[in-house]
Amino acid sequence: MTDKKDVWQGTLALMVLKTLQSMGPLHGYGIARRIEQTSGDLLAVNYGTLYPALLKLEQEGYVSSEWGVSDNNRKAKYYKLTRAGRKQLQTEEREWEQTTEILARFLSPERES
Amino acid sequence: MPALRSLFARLAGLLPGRRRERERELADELDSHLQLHTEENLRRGMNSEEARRQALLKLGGVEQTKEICRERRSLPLLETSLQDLRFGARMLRKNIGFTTIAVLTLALGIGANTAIFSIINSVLLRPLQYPDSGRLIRLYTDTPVEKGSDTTFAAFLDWRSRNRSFESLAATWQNDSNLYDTLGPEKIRSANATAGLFPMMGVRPVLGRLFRSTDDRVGYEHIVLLSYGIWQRRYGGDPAILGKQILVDSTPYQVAGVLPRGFHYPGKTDIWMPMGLGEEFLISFHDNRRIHAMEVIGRLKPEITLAHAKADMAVVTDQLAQEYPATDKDSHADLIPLEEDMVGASRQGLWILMGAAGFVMLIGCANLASLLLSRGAGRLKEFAIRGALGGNRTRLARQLVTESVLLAIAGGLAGIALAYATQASILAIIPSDLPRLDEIHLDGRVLGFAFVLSLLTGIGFGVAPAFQAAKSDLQSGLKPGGRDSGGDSNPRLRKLLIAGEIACAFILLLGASLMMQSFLRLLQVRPGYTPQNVITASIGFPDSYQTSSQKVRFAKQVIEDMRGTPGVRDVAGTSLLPLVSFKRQSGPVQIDGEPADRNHGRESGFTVVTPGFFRAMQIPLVAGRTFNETEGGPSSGPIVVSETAARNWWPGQDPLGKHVRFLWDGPEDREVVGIVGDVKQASLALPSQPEIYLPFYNLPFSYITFVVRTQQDPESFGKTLADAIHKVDDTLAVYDVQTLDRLISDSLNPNRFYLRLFGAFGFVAVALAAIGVYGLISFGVGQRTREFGIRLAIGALPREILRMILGQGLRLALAGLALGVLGSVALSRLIAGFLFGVQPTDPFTLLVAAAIIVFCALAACYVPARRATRVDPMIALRYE
Repeated sequence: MTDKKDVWQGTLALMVLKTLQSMGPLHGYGIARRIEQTSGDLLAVNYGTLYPALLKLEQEGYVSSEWGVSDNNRKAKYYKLTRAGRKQLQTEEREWEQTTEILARFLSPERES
Repeated sequence: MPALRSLFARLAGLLPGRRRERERELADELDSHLQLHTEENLRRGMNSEEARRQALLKLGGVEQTKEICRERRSLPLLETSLQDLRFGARMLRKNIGFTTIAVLTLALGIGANTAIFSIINSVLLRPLQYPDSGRLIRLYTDTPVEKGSDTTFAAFLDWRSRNRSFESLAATWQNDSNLYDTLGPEKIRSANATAGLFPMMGVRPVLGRLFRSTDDRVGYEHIVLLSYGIWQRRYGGDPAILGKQILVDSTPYQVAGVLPRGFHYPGKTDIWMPMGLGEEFLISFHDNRRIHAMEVIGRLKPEITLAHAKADMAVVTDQLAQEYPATDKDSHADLIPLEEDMVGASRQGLWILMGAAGFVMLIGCANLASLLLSRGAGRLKEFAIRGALGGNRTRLARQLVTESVLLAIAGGLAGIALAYATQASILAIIPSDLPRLDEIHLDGRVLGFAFVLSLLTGIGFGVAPAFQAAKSDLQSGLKPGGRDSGGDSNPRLRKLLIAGEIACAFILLLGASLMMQSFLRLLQVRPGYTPQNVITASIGFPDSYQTSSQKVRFAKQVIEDMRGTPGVRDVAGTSLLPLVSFKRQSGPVQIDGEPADRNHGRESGFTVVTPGFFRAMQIPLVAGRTFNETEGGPSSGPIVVSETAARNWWPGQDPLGKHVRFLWDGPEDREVVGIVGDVKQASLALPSQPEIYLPFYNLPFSYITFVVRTQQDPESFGKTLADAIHKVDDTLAVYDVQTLDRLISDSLNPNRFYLRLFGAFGFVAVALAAIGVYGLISFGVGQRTREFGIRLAIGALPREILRMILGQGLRLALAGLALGVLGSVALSRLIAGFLFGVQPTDPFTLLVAAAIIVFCALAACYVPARRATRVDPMIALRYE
């Protein structure tokens, strides 16, 4: 529990979208666990913050939801990516790569030139 | 696009229908989340209790998560505002007593302010109705003997031709006239006006035409323009009036046009005639540089400032002074914007009233704030519980502000209703010399003013308790008996508020008492005659009375007829009654032995009276004699002077036999034959000025007022007098049939107006302050019930507790009074001009006002103090 980073605003949405792309339809708990695992347990997601983020994505039309049954026969609400969501994910991925690239140049300038 | 979509989704979230369903869905979702998580934890080997606990911890609280989701689901600001409103309204309904007091307090404050603001808005703030009215300027003549005098017709013509600053200049000349047609006689206000007046004021006739410039000259057409009002009232709005003949002062005129509704310039004019005047009159006017009778108005050219125009007119009047040294030396034009000229004199009084109303508002606000603070203190437990259940602090604070805004809006609406309801009675007592009276009404701006005022009050005074609630400590709020510790967290603020409102109330009360004192003193002023049992009636002579002897014959006939009437003791005539200002005559005089230089001219009023006037009015003869029926010629007759004139002009000498010359008239000397007592001519409040009486039978004016002293009940002789006048000439309009008592009383109308409003404000202020004190003390007593119980239980006497609480009230009142005295000293300069015979810092009045305040404060404390002494120790100690 020591060195985990909080998930900062905005990136959570991207992580959710990416998770849904790679995993297919998934319930809230699953998404949260997946994000934690993918980050190598470096990120501490307060699971509670996931639900408003999902709600926002749904309102924006990037994900849709329906009730389903989980692997161990629990009723759960499943989220899946919509077409608009897929497009949005592409855009955001691109933007994010650009941003990190620019930042990377700033942070290690000696490698340039 | 996604943003818009999400907005719609959230708006839809506002709809109540699906709310419950969504709420259940969210609960289910979180529930399933927890189960999934718990199961996984179990698989990792935790015991069931720990598994669930960890899942909950990781989620960060079910209720909190729900709350964040709720906020995301719809528009929280809008939704919670609606919620706040609903809840606030419910709270207000539940505490009906509190709500009533708060709304009433606000209604009084906002009502008073709205009522006064509606007057200020119409009279002072709204521009005059004439187009581009800022460029309209009134021009006066300052002569060595009189500032702000009217202008001679000759000077007006010179000004008009020589100035470079005005687009146009117009002259008007007001009169009382007899209108006579098939409907009989009616007295109306008429004005002769140069043709340029109407285009200058932006007036187009609704019917017919205006004057032509040829109408300004000798030999003009005899035409009149009617005001819209008289056209409607007297002629039923019939367009056929055009071209009809009416008699104005027995001269036939043809109606040429009707002017638009609301136009009455100058003054309250109903009929306009061309400036052509009468041939004889106009010719003498043309060259006469001594008769100052014209009111001059002009419209500045665009780009020309008032300062430019003043400099320009100074050049013109300097030229005239050189060309006509005998008459125009040291005369200057005085330029005043028309608006300032019309309303300037009323400005200070109205703003003082606004200030007084503002004080009432402040007091009301202080009460409201204090009420809200104590209510907030009483609701600490409610807030603590809501806080513990996840309600956030800003929400709570906002809830409180919402409640006070709701209160303020309710108060504002009640206030506007109050302003509407009282408007008629305020208009009824408004002095008729206040300009633009007919324009006063509640318009959008006034309503906006009331609305903004109430909103500001609501927000402003909701903030303090909201702040208090937001920083309150949940722990102590939840503790049983916490009301003792958490109770009134801000007693000093509340005491300060109450002391402040006592100070405001004291200042208002002092103002009202000072005005009351002035008024009583004015009532005691001796007018210089006996006003009881005198009826008067006035007429103006039309042009058919061409010669003096016709007027004299008429007056003698009426006087003789009345004298024979049973119940009548004396009858006389005068050009003007005291305290009547329209057409009051005054001018420079020169007394013998003094150089003829105009600059030494002394100023005197003139009244033309019949011989019996002094006896009928019971003005005492001090020395010499009064007039007899048949003496002197028109220009060298005897005069009677007032005591002040005698004292000022011939100190230490015998004025009888001395001579006076009228500078406006001719070179003839008039001999002083008598001295009579001073009469308050201009106003009861002003010292008497020198007055000269001339015999009517030598020098009749073109108007006369009959004065009839009766044995009793003068009112009932009004009709007799009017009939006697009509018996001699039934074409005359008899006007101002009134008793002298009435005349004196009416002259105090402005004082009465300010007194009544100030009195009302003072009364409301004291009542509100008393409510404030009562609220504060009784809240304090309520909080300390247990303390009093203990005190009584260990042997304190009820008397001591009573004294303790009254002492608190007294300290509060004294603190307020100290503030109030400071404030009233600071404000005393403002009110000084409205007082008569009493200083704004009059110690007696100060003491009386202070005593009233202290008494009211103590009375307000008494009820809660009594309650404190009746606390049953057993009940108080068992409580909770």
